[in-house]
Amino acid sequence: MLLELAWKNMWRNPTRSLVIIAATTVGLTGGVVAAALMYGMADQMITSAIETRLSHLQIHHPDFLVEHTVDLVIPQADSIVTYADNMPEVIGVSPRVVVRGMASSAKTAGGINLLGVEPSRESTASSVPSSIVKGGFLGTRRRDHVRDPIVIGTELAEKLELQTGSKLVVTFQDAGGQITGAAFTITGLYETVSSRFDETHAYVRAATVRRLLGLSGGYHEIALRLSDASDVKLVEEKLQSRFRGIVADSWKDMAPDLRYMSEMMNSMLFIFLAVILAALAFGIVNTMLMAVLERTRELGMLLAVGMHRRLVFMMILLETLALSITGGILGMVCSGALVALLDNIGIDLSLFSKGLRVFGISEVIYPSVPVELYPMLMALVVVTALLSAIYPSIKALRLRPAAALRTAA
Amino acid sequence: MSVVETKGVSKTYHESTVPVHALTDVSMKLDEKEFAALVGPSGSGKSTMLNMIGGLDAPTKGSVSVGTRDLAALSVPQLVEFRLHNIGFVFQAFNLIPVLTARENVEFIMLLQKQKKRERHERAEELLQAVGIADRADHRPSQLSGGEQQRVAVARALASRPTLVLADEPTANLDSHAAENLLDIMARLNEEYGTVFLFSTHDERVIRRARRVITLHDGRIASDERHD
Repeated sequence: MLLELAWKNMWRNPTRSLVIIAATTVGLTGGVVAAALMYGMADQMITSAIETRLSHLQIHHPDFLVEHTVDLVIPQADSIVTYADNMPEVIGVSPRVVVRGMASSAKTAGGINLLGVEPSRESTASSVPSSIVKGGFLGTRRRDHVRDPIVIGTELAEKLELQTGSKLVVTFQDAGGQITGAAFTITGLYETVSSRFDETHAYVRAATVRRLLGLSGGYHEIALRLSDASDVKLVEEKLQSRFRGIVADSWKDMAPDLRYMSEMMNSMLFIFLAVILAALAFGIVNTMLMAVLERTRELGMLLAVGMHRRLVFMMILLETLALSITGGILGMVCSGALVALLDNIGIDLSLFSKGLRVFGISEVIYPSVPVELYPMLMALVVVTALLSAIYPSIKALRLRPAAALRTAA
Repeated sequence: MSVVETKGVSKTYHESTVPVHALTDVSMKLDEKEFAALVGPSGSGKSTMLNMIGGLDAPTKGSVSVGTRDLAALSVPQLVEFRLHNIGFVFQAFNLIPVLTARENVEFIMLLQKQKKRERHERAEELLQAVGIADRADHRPSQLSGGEQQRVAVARALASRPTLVLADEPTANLDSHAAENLLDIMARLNEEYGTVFLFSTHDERVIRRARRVITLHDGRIASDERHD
């Protein structure tokens, strides 16, 4: 009955209640959609980093990521590749020879990471081979069969003022510590969503770079793509326990900035929505305070005829909850529908594509929010309602029935 | 046996710089089945007296007993519970809950008493029949006339089967016809249920119908007359 009475009381002044319900709905929808956009951007940054360079897991010599010297190759690399190929969780394995060098054209020069790859394998672990915008990826086309082909990003080509067919000189230190280098022929240009990546990564055949480095064999890095990203830990443990003298790092270990961004997203969202709800709380307090003050005489009557103060308190609390939860549910339904729609069609931000590519974000954002956001949001709405109800309820509790009954209608 | 007894009740308000003596040394008794009116000019202390008897306010001095209970001995929650089960209220401005129907307004008191649904329905039906408004039971207060609303208020006041009904200017907002009708109903209910009715009023029609008239003047009892 108390709940029914609270619900009916809420609709005494429909305009006022609808205004606050609309404010809650719009506030939550705006907050969730903005949060979904942030989530979408973060997801794309992580996905693009995984798809281009990191993969889900990488295996190195334990000292390679610190020292980056060319002789720190992975022991038993071939066995690891064979073992990984047979792991059910793994869908792509790409061994790489990695060296840092200087790429020079007639115009200018810039630092790059030169990745020596097995072309057919690289496409299983990275999206770069499928991101070719001109030419091919290291001999996938007959006319690309030149002596030392190289594939670079469009950003680097633009910076060095080169194009396919141009010669690119890359210099680096060999295994003996001597500066060495070669003139490569650009056979392909790729373009990913990250302009920074495109400017700093070049692909050659593993055998070519190994020859130039003076290495007899081996790889510095094995990148693994998994069918399910949540299996990273499991695969990491399997590899670590099976092979000695290697280190397996997940993308989170290799890119802590992305990991923190992913982990912080929930906290940021919580703070973001809490600020919106705090602003809404003032509106709810105002509405409920007006509701209490307008009904002073009626509340006095209820106290006089034998309604306990705790029931009056509960009634005001339930009215506030009904008001807030109605707005909350509508807000979640609207935001859920809007996020689903935007996730389907995407938000085209091509006007800002240059800026977005610097951060590894594509020009079309697909907003999304984790499902667990909604219970958290509902909990926030309930907490907001409870806090908002305190002051109006105290006002009602402080009424003296005899005095309240004397007030004007 | 007295249903209400006040002994030397005084009430002084200190809400402004000058203390206001609303009641001074008022002693009176109301016996079973009384149909009494508390009369007097504005400011004579009628409403204050009703508040004291109804346990809505406490006397500065003296004591108020309803039935066997000294109201001063009850804690605030006990007083609320006591009012719920023993005293019915009828207010000048009806004070029905606007979002509930006439039936729901009557049932509300019984709901506070935690009575069963069936009992509530039956009692509400009986009372709405008794005040002649059963056919308007599902109307909200805004759909009822002033007279009808006050009849619902009387039915609500009797819902808890109280020994005492306190009615503060019950006819003040009613036209003659509605007022007479209401008084007929209350007199009949007083006869049928034996409930004590105490009105505070200026209304000659009420004074004429009351079997006892207690006149207050400047917070003191000026006269106490029985019209049996």
